[in-house]
Amino acid sequence: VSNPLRNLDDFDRLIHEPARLMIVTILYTVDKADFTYLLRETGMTRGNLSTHLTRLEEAGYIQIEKTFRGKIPQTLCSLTETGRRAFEAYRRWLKQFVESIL
Amino acid sequence: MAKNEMEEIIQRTQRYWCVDGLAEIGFGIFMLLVTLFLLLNILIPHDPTSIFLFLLGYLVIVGLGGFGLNNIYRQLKERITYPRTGYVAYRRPSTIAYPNRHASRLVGTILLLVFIFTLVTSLIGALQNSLSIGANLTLFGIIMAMPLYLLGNAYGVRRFYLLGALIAVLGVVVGRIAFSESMGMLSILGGVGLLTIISGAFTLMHYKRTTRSLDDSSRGE
Repeated sequence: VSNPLRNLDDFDRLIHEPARLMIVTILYTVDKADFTYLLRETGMTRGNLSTHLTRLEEAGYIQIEKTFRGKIPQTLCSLTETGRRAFEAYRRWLKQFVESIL
Repeated sequence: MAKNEMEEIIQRTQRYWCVDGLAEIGFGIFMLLVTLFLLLNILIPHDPTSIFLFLLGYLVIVGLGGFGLNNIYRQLKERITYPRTGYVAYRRPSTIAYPNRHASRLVGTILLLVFIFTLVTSLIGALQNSLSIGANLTLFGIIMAMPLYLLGNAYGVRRFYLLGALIAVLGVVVGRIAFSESMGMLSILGGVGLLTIISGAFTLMHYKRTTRSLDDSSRGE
């Protein structure tokens, strides 16, 4: 088996999924983002986004905080240190993988 | 998802702060306040009492004006932006991973050095009268346009390039017609304020037209 293909075993499958990668990329850039922002930016349905957020929360990659802004309920999401490290590792893996196949 | 797409998402998230034009409007108002204040400084007599009042006014404008505008800005964000396109809290700039960070830092450092060099030489030039009033004002306009160009480059916001170009043109025009250096500089500062307010207002109108506030019932997860 060639090196690029062997490298395929090393990547984080949880982050690799496009929808979750989009969420993690956004949260990597900011301190916190609410559900509305993630909904608009990802273009997912509420249910779909909620499912992906739960998966990421279960993995310890993100933290979900339910608050109120005035009388309006707000769901705030932020990347945990584990999630941050996982995303950085994924970016490094992606870079190496792209370089290895070119 | 390709690496480029990830970088595009990062950049789009970074420029969310200026999606509604409110920051430009706030900056423009602040520039107009500063212009008005400097104009008063030219018009009032220069006795000790006036100088004291001037310094006091300066602290009020910069301190309270900035604080007040920041509060209004936050309230408008709460009312207009967050219900429409969501809330985002940014991390400290030093911890954000920019695409091509090293290249950006190098270009930023070079531009900063050029900026400081230009500023210092233009000031020295003005002091020594080595530059004509027109050339000084043109240079001043270009210096005022540079931060907008840098912002446009850092966040990929094209309207900042246009705004920067308009301010540079304003510098050239004022340089041609100004009869005194101080009034010329005030015209440029005021022009910068007006242009950023207009740009922000157009952006805000477009933002409000293209987005709608979500119903209270559909908010949250």
